[in-house]
Amino acid sequence: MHELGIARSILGIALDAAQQGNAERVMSIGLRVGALAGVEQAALDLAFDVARRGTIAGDAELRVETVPLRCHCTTCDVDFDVDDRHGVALCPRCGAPSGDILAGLELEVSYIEVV
Amino acid sequence: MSESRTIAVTVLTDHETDRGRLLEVERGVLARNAEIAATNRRRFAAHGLLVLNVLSSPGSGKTAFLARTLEARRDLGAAVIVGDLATDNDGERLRAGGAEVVQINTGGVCHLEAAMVAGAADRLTLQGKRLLAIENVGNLVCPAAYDLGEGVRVVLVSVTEGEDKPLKYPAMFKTADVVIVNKMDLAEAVQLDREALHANLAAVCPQARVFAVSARTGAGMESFYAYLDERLATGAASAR
Repeated sequence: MHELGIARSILGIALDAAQQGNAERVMSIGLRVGALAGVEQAALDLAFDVARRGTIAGDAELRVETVPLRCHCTTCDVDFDVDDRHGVALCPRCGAPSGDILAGLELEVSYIEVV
Repeated sequence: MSESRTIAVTVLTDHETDRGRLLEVERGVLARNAEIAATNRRRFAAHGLLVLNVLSSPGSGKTAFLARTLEARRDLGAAVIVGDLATDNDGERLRAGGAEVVQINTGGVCHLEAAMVAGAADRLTLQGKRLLAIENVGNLVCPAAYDLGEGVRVVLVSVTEGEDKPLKYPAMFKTADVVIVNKMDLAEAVQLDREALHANLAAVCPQARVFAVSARTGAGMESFYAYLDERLATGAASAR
């Protein structure tokens, strides 16, 4: 449970960007969250609701884009998306498991929407 | 990157009509931690240190595993950064092998961060040492997201925790360089299904080197020590 720290960090990044953009208010924050980023969406929403209070992002909503786990098979030289919540990444061509992660660990603020 | 940006904008136009303006940010939420971790990594590399980030659930035997390693490998001149010491006894066990030990008072946080490690490293004499072991907070979720500047991510799982542990914590196991299956001396007592455990590890984290050991009896530890030597010999000790 480190979502409060994550929420504060998201807010800090958003507020910095808002200030640089001479914004009065932050309406929404776009997040890119990897399938294996280790962030619990419900816990993050709850933490963010607390963190945003009293700031110019007081009404801001989080818009989360989930990035699927994407792995590489070295044998077949194939990149593929993984749809398995246990992180088992089987190459669609040869069936071998892969631990070569290309995407899915992201935790990024991609944009903010401001007025 | 450019592909992902397009997706973000598409999502916005789908949901939005007439509200605000869009400011591109593109900043990692843990970017500050990543920067400090990179600084740690350069600093450790300058000392030729092999750095282990040791992770597991509470009670998997991290301290016993490290204490055994440090005693057997006094020759490496080790330092240890400990996230949580259950008792003074733990510290004594770690110091018994001649290692220099500093404790981070985590105050109940669920993971170590790179800045905590940087601060702890300031209190250590790194000169002349070959191995730095960081014993993380006992937790298989939160610490996975925080790079500390380590060269090797070591994840412990004990045989008492069930064969499906790797399936339950994919973020942790999928980013592991080494998996230690500990408490093999209890395998019989808990009727460990070895094949199932190893099949799960092979499915989730085929990249990881797996060592089945008993930190208590020392069985199987030699192979892990050989791995340490191998990593030290490659010279890229701190590169991940």
